[in-house]
Amino acid sequence: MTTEKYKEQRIGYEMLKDSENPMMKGLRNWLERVFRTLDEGKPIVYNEFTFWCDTMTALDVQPLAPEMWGQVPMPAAQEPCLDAAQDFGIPPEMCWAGRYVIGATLLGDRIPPPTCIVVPTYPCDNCKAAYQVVAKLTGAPMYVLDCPYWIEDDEEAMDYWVDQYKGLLSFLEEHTGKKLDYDRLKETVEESNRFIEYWLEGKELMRRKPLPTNDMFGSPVEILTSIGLPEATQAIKNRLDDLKARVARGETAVPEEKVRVTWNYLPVLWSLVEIFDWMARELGAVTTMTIFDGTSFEPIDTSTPESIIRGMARRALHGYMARQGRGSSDIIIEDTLRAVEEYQADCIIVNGALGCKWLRGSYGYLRDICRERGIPVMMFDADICDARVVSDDEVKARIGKFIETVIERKKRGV
Amino acid sequence: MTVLQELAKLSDTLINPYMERWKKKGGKIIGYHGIYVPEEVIHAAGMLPYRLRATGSTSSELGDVYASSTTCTYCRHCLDQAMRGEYKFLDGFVSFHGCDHLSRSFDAWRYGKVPTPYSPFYLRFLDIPFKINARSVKWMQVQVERFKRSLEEHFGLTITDDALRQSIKTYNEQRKLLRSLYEMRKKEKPPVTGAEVLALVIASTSMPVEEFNEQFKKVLAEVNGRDGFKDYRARLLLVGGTLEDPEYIRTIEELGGLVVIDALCVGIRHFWDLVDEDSEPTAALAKRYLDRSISCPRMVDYERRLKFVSDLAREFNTDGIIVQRMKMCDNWGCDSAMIKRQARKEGMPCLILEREYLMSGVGQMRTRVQAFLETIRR
Amino acid sequence: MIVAGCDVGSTTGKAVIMKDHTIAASTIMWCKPRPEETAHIAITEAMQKIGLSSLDELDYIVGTGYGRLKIPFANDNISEITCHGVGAYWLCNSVRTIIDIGGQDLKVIGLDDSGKVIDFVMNDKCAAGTGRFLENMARVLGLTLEELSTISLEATKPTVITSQCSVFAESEVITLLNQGEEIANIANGIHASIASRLLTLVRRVGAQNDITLAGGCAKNVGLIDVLEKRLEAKIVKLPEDPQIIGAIGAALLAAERLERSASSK
Repeated sequence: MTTEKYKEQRIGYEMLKDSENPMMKGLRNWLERVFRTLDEGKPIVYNEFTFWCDTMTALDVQPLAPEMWGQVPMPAAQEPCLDAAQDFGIPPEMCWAGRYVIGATLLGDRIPPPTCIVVPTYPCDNCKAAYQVVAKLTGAPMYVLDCPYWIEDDEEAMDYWVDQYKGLLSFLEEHTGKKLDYDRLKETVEESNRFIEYWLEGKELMRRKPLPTNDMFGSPVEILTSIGLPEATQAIKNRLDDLKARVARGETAVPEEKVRVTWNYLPVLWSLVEIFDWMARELGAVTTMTIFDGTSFEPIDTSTPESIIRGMARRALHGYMARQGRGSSDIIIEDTLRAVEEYQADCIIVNGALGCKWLRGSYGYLRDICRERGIPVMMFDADICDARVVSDDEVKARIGKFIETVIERKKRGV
Repeated sequence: MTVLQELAKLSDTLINPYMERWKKKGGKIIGYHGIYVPEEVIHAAGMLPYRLRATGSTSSELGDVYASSTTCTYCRHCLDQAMRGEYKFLDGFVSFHGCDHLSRSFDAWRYGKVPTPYSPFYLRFLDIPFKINARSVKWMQVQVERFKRSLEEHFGLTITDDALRQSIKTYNEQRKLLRSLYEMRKKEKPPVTGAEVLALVIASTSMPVEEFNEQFKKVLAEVNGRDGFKDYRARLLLVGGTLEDPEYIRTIEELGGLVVIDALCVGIRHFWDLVDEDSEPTAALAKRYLDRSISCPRMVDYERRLKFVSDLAREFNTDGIIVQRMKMCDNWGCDSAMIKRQARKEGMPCLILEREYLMSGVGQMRTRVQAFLETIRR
Repeated sequence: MIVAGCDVGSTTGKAVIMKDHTIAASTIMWCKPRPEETAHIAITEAMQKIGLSSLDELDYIVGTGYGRLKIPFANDNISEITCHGVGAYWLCNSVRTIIDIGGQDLKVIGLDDSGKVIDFVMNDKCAAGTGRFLENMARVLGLTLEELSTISLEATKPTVITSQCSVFAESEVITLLNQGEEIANIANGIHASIASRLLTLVRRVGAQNDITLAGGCAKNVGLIDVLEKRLEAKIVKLPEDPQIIGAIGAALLAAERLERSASSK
């Protein structure tokens, strides 16, 4: 690699080289492609981390989700960026994602500058506001996809949203110099359909009792980095085959499954992943699915360009966090209850990231519903990246107590 | 008491004698949040549009049940007032996807956590676009038309195009009147304080528009007769989101920082632009309400917002900018940082003040404002 | 021309009398419950030191600090930010950043080359990192403030105190003590925690060299040591007691006000 910048990510890349973990492998491949793109001087498109990169894959331009970039290799590397954002005047109560992106941009040598930026108006104020600052600071053209709040069963709203996608494709053509080829688009989307199929199959297996693995099969990193490429499909197929093999061998996540948990928030790449292993090992509490990943997807009809674009637009509405963040608390509650029901969970653990205003604002309603339905729920505040907010030990202590009560309730048949 | 004082008093309470008289006559009041709900549609339905405030709220205990520690305190206090039944004088409530905080607190209304005077209560959450272009203005028009239809259906009435046109004319008159007051503030001796103007703008959203217009003409005459203020240390532009307490501005002005112009939510962002009276009404409303000279930071036209603030400061010959931002607001958190950066580049002193709904730590606010004014003129 | 500056803070009251642009007398005393009383005692003590008996003998008095609005004999009041800027710059004109650790707040003030305040940032919403914080910590460790300050220099390994809140930080320190951690290391950790807070504020202002400290904590050698390491810069020591910098600035501004009104006549 000819360029010397982006030290953390290069170190991270080296660290990931020998990892067998499918998520890490996916990250590594993505980093390799990004470095190559930089070396070749080709365009880099920022895609906000809830926006799938299928359009970019179709145009053969390299997506870079800044929030993902910042998670490599360790959250500690983000600190200077978070500090820089705060020095600039961004409030510390803002979600780490926004602060990271702004801070990395301010520092100048932390993240490759964008050729252009793509951001949807979901999931929240934070992303929409932060990217405006990034666009202002970099001067890069930005395309915002304007998502209606009420879109279910509303054809006019769907038309408006589909128009956003059409606008996006023109925008990408204009700013990357690539011409949209419908055959390529069709090919990409069909590949992504296969990807989704494998993913859904894996999620289906995760409904089994006992749980075959504690590796959640949640949103694969590929949806942000490479969906639509054959290698992405192969990667998810490998994971699925591994899972199927485990199931065939009768392997389970833990020798004795005591409690099944639905997790309300992201299974983050670094900070809290260890928590799931710890819960399984120490408490016999397995984590089935997050509320963000319980949804299903329709295969996209690739018969005409119109049906392709419409299908992509529709699919994006159900992506993780996009779906829960674009509308009212109805969706958050619905998805939580569905995750509990479909994955046969005994309880819900809610990890409220302090900066996440839209999700934490729904917790009062969620608490009411859980009380009504008799679903044990535990809520705690922790930051995705900042260990100073609440320590791992405290979190473990609280989860330990909660799981104990859930086991008690199960014994009493409550 | 002058007419100005009388109107300014309306900002002290949630309800006032104008509204009480309106209700006595059998009139209906529809509450709304923010600047994106088309008042004319409510007015053309024969109802009084009332911009919702949390005036008089002293705690948010009840509202906090359905909020988090990181929910904006304005929303928490509004929800608290709602849950206490303080908004029972409303016949309907319209909100919109302004921000995460507004959205989550509206769910409380939808889930029946708020006591209402009748059931099913008229509730509407407008789906306002975030972008401004021909396509989104068309989508905004759909929202306006749906809003109109929903009022018609729920209340069993008809809103004619003529009624809409008339409402537009009346509200345009209000806007022109308010703008003419603002023009006077360009003078070297501005005849009104920022605190007075905030109170007046609040009054304009809390009473029948026709009555406001009539009374306001008298206010303009009174103001015209004033000598104007000259003992100030600095002319200030006050920028920020929703602010309901003139005391906040008084605190700044007592220190010598005369607020000669604002870019506040309850200020120019609310009334600045006129609706085109020659176009088809719902199209004209859509255009005016979405495509504004200065938007709420929820919108993605940051360049235009920034430029407008810069131009405004120059136009009103200000010595400094104070941006007041509500704690927990991501939109204002980012916008204020960009405004300060721009101001610094332009050599315009700029102070960012963080606040919450209830005024607290006045001593601390005074120290910052005083120090800021001293950097402008020691 | 005899002028005076009176700085009524949350913990201490200070007065400085200047005669023809030279410091003639100064005083530092613990605050009384009422700021009016504090101000009166401070100014009287200072006056007595140079044989003045009546306030009329002072040509102009500027009040500053937290209690500046409650100084009845002041001709004018000016924020402590401006006063600290003026005072520090007068004492050393290479100063561009002033870190003021007060009894209950923290301030960082940035100056331009002409000594004018260009930016400032305050942390007055909580006591973490302030004089109050240090007092509490000294008490927990069974030390005087002086002892806390010097023992920190003997630290053998850095101890990190993670709690953002001073109440929780106190619990953390007690835990460390019970775990047998060296007092020197704990003291160092306490200073490091203050330094972290200050650094955030310093960066927000975009601090430039030379940097100086004001306030009571400016005499804390342990804190200075940690700060200098974190800032990677030497902290300039001003030739006067760092606690009276605000009052000096107020006195200088009193002179300025006097000269301004004389020339406008």
